[in-house]
Amino acid sequence: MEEELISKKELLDITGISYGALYRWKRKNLIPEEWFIRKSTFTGQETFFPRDKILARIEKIKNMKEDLSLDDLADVLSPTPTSVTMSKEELIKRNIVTPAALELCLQQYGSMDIFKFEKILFLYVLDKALQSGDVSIEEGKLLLGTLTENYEKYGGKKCELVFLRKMGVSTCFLHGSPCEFYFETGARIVLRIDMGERIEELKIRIG
Amino acid sequence: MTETRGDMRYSGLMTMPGGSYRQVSVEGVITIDGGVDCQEIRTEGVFTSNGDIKAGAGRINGVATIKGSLESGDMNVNGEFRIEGDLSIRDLKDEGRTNIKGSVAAESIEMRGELTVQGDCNAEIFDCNGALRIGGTLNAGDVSVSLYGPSNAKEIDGGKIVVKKEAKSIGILSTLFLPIVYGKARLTVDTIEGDEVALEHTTAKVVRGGTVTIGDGCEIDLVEYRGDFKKTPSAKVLKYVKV
Repeated sequence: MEEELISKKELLDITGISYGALYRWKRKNLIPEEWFIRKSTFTGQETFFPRDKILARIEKIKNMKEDLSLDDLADVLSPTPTSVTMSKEELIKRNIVTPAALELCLQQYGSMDIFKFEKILFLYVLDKALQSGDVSIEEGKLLLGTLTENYEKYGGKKCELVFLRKMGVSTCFLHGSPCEFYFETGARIVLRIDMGERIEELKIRIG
Repeated sequence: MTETRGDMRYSGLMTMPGGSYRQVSVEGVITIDGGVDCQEIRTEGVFTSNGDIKAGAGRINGVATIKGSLESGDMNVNGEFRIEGDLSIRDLKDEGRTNIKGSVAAESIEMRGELTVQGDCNAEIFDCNGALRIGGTLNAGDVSVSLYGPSNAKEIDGGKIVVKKEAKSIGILSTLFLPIVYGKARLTVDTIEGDEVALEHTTAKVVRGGTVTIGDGCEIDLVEYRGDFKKTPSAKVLKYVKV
């Protein structure tokens, strides 16, 4: 069935928003590009929108923008509940992880189609680490292995992942934060990842 | 996180390796092979990057080509600048000629010279003195264009859109845009949409806006306005309707 459309003119009339606001929200990705449907009419080019979606979205933006900045809103507006499982296609499509990280993960875990939140989290952390350029693919495997084996032992408590390197040899460990730790000179911290922060980020991104 | 990054400093003629740096400061004829991630980049002379560049801030003087994308904080550009990928930047101050093959996303763009973007151009503030060629849509909160040469865009959308032409070309722009070019200064665009639109020397098929002011030298097929409409007698408007 074809979606009911609304013209831009009518949209501005009904919602009372200005061109400026509409285009600002488009720039901030609060309104997806694909919702701007161009059609030729007798007066030339006109833009239409999927009626129900755009009206609901504008209502939501108007209600939420008092509490959140537009950039935060853009994150929150991606529509999925928190306790989620996602398919690998979704993970890529929604730009939560890069294909490179996903492939590495599939090598480690064997083929998987559906990811639970915890696995998405590991994947997300791995992706961030790889993208920072601080860890190599090989080290990424190490990181993923450490998380898979040990993360659940913290039972949801706060913990931090630390990545060390000395003379080209790297290792990583998890520790319950906050805690102090010291190690031999010559070893260098390459990366520290607060898992709590990552969970929050991820929740905002997929929730 | 403690990380140690070195600086890249060089003047002369050289091909340098890409990688992570704190500061990249190069002079002369420099090519960087591979991508660069740095806190600050300064180039002087003829600069070429064969990969993407990510920089916290930067200053580009001379002739620079990036054969990838550029992601940057505030940046000052003087001279001839080419980006073959996308540009994502906070504040861009640019004097000279800039050509971007991909799309642009910026907080603000302050251009004096000629800006070519083959894709879309998004910015909160877009201020151009000179000429612009935008293959896609220019979407900005505040668009201010002072025409010095032939300009075009497919579409201009935003809050406030002002296009004008000074009585004569002045300052550095008069060296970039010779009188013969300046004489042809005119904006050609399919559609313009904004809350407050004021145009001079513009050819457009459709102009839609809250308040629309059509000034000298305009040729507009259709104006649709929601609030006020003004036009100087010399402007050509085929049809105007209040909607």
